[in-house]
Amino acid sequence: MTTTLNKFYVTKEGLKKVKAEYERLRDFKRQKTMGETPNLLHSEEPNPEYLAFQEDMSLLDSRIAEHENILQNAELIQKPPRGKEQHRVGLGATVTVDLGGEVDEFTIVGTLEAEPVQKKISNECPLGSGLLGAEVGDIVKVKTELVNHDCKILKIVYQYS
Amino acid sequence: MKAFLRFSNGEPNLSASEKKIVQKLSEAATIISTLYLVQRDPRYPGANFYPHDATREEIERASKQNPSILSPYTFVERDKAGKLVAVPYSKRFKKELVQIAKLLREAASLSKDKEFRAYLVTRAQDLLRDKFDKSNILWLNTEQSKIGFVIGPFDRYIDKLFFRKRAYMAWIGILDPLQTDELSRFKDTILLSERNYLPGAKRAKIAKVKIRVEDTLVFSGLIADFLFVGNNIPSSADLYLIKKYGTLFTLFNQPTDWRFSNWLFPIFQRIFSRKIKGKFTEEELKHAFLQTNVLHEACHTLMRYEDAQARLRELTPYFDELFTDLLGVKGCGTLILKNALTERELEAILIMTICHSLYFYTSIPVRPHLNPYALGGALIIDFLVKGKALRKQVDGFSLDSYRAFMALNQLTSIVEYYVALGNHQEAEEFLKKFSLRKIFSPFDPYLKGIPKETLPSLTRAKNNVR
Repeated sequence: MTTTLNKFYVTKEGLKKVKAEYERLRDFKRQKTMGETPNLLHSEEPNPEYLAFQEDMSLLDSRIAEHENILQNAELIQKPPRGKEQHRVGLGATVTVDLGGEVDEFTIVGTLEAEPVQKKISNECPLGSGLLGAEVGDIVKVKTELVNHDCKILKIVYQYS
Repeated sequence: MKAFLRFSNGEPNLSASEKKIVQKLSEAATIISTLYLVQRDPRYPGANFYPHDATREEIERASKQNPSILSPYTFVERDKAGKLVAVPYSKRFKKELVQIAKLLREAASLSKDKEFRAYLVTRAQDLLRDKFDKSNILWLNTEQSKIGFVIGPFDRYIDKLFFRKRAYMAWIGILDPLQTDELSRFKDTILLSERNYLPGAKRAKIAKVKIRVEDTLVFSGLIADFLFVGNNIPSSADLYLIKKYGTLFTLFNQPTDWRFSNWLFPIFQRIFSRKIKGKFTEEELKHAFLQTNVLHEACHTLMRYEDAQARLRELTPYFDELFTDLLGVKGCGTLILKNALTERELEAILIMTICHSLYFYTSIPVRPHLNPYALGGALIIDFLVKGKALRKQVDGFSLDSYRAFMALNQLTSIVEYYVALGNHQEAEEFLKKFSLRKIFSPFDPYLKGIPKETLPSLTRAKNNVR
């Protein structure tokens, strides 16, 4: 879950989801630790139930820490101010492109919310990073080790507030 | 000879009534295999659909007077005066089809699945009237049904004279929900963008493309002969239906495993250099093979050149199947740019595409009807070798994936021309430039030990049945 300069770019909706998941994980931990916890020793051997419990707890703690880190470093994706910036591809922009003979439309989001099947691509994937800053009519070369495409920008729309 | 395969995949988790349903459907599938064997005759390009002494010109002439001569669901016979006449399948096979319809209705009465029941009852009716649209539309609603069952005449591959007549087949399978979910997402990602087509293409957004993965229990008729790893119903032969209602493509687990373990992976181990062999695991390649199948079946629905069949006639499957494979590989480029596929996965897909081409080549001596696939594979190999993407080294072939991707994109554009605009003569001349023997012979020394009979002969396969 990496992101540019340790910032997590998220939409309002995405941030709400992260907060809700964070609360759910904390509640779950609270419930787990409120009840009776297994003893360390089971006769002379370490208690397998205790070991499993510890493993679950450390997994839960790392997920909670991960969500805390996101919340502390989250930066809301906002619609750019009216004028020139709205004609440029930025985070939150829904872009229509001609990509090597295929017309494609997707929204550029942070890595956290990227879901290509939902037409949301990350600002760090080759296409997302290649298009940032481009304007309608621009032809951008998008390259990876194996793929090399010209990408013509047909339309840019900002839907996020 | 029996065109019938029963796959041994353990005891499927079925209730007592579901077992009875499968039993009824198996009986129907057994009967359908006998109808397929009446249609099939690999010695003649028109199989047994047309009189063996009738020429293409005579049949075409007769069809102008009587269009049912070239209907997908008729046999062409000579009457007492020697005149060509059309005999509908439902008339010729009345006795058997009545039996099958009865079994389907009995299976329907045992089923608690409303959608599946409606489909079975309608399919029973459709088999008796040689019209399959109604039941094909209902089949699309059975994507979540536990039992998967298709029966009827659908694919045209054994009519090499006109590529029109449909051959009977049936399959039975049990839904694999986990694989269905995973591959469904992959399919959705592939079909997100809208291609630009050449002139002549009919612009259309496919209504819905659904997918189901099944543990296969039974193959019968044409599908047992060809041992497909996936199939679309409605098929691209019924594009008008696909455009309005969509299609449901089924991927078959056991035939996929069979083909991969017995042929594709051994071919991979034999032909590639040590460096490539050390790079990919068997598991990764198997997953790539599944992905190539999804790409292939999904891209069948991207075909928009509706007049291709009229122009290319019996050459249609050569171009259709190859174009579909190439579109799939090309589409992977976009997926990489969106991080929906890794470059490593694309490399594995390219490797499986090469192994698959060689698989079809090795199957030709025993299964000549797979020739369209083998020739398509030959074109792929030829472009990769000439594009210096596939090179012979001391310890096997090396692959330059960048060059491979470029070479196949170039081939896509060439093949698209023939599919979109080419006439029969130029398409024929184009294909003649590629000799299977010449293109594949550098691979012969590496393929020693690969079973010559790449698909089980239908009689021998009986040994594999439970």
